[in-house]
Amino acid sequence: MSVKTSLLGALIYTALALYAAAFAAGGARRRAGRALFAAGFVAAVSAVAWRGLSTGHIPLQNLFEVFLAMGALIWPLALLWGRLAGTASRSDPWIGIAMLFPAGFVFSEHPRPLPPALQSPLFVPHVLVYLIAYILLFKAATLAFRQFRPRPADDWHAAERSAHRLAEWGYPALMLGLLLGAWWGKLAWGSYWHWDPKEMWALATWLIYTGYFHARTTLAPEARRARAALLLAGFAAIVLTLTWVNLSRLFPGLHSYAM
Amino acid sequence: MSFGPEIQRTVRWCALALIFIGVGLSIFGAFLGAERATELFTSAPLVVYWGVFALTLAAGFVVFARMRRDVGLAAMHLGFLLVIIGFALGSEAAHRWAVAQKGGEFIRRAYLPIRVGSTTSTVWDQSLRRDLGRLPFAVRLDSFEVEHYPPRAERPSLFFGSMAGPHGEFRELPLNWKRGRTIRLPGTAIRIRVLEFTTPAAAGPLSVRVALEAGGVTREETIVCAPDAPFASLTLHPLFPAIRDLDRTASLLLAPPAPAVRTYRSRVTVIEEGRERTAEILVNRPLRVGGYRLYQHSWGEQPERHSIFLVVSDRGLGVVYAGFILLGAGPVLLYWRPRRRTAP
Repeated sequence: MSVKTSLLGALIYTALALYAAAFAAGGARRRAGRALFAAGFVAAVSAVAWRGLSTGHIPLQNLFEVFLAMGALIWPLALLWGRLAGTASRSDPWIGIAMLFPAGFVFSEHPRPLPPALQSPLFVPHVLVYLIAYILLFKAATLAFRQFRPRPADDWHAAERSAHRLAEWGYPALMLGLLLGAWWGKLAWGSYWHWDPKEMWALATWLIYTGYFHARTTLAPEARRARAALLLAGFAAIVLTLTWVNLSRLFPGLHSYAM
Repeated sequence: MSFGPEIQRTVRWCALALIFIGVGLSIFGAFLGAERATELFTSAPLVVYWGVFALTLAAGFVVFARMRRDVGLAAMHLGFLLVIIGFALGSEAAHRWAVAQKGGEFIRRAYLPIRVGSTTSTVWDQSLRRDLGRLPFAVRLDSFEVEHYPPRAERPSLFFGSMAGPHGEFRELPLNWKRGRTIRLPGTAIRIRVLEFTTPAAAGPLSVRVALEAGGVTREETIVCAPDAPFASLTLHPLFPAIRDLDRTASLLLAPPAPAVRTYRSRVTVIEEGRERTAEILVNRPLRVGGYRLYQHSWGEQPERHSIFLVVSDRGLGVVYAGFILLGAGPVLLYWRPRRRTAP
């Protein structure tokens, strides 16, 4: 547990409180909920900006900064999926809370200067597209989960359509993240693929989502739960890659600076 | 050309099976570590797997008209096919085959250690013991610099040191300290509390004032680390002579935090066919020369300051990059396009 007593901590906790208030006020479906959600975004963006100014680099270096950035990205992405897939919901601010909570309470805010390997023009786009993919695919997974709860058939179909649309938006971002990482790996370490544990998990994640898109054309139309299970498996792989693979000593490798 | 639904279904299921075999292999490979995973994924059975994957991708183009018509779908699948082909072209087997056909040196991945002021074209294996051959150009290392970030207002490191190693050697244990927090020195009755400290960013030497307490005796001491000294120490036994089992070497060590490296910079002169050109090699900025890339890999001070470059052949890289472009553009073209809303 790492409680922050700094200005950065105050901004993070303000954003968390506003996201919680947005949820209580009805989330993206009510005007008050939308206003509080937007105010939470302003607080989260301020935290990102403050962190960037105090460290002197775009704050995407370690897990603290990554979760902080995801806490700020949730609002614009929720707007995007509200427009694209019609899936704005009361629970969207909860995703913001889930993203910001590790930054607020789990990881240390102790700053570290950027090591030489991270001083690349590819650093920000590589991490940023991955974070966008993760959030979109998180939302897709929450919709896929509805397939396993008793609901009217129309609701299942609508949830599946929306989950698929979000996967369609998240998958290219996941692909770009993987490719930008490979290109960067070539420039920094001499090879575009090192078979490093984190790379292997990233490949497994990408393959699961690739499998999901193939399964949609291969499996019978009524196998909706199998398709939903693939979206959930893909998201489970993302969570493992982001947390277990980064934190566990089981997977030492080139990406150890994420801590 | 049209194919029946049976053939189409077979290709689809084959693709799906290959994808999920890939998932399983990737997760298994993650537990093996990079070195053993490389061996696994380039082993003969896995070469067959990649070959079948490439054939299935090619079969998809033949069997499914949509894969040929839809630009995004075509780009994505062709991209992955090119990545597999490029990977095969850059493999060790392909390099050996090319050398057998055309002659010349076999250098796919090697290391070039070089002292400041010297010139060499000899490359070595990773252990730097086995000579792997000569590059078609020579490199002179004009200078090598390690640039550091300015010192930060970061608290110094405190260690408890004593001759307590398993073979009686001196061992230092890092102390997890905070100003005002009392902690016990490992294996002793002494408790320590940091009262004040200075950081490397402050003017003046690095110092820490501590309160030490054991058996009802409390002592306040200041440890000061001289600007160029690696550490400063405070021997504990004279402070607490009444503690019988306290090792006479037991001491509190103060060390400045290690300076963070900003960059490693090698300035080189490349000599190729009698012509000379100067260049810089940094992390993320390799030097391209004669079909190879030179990367800043490592460095050392012993016996003299030297830099070690990683030398990698670019064979097959163009095909892989073409695959990357198609693979990246494919899903964007396929999925990030406006859709007409259909009536519910």
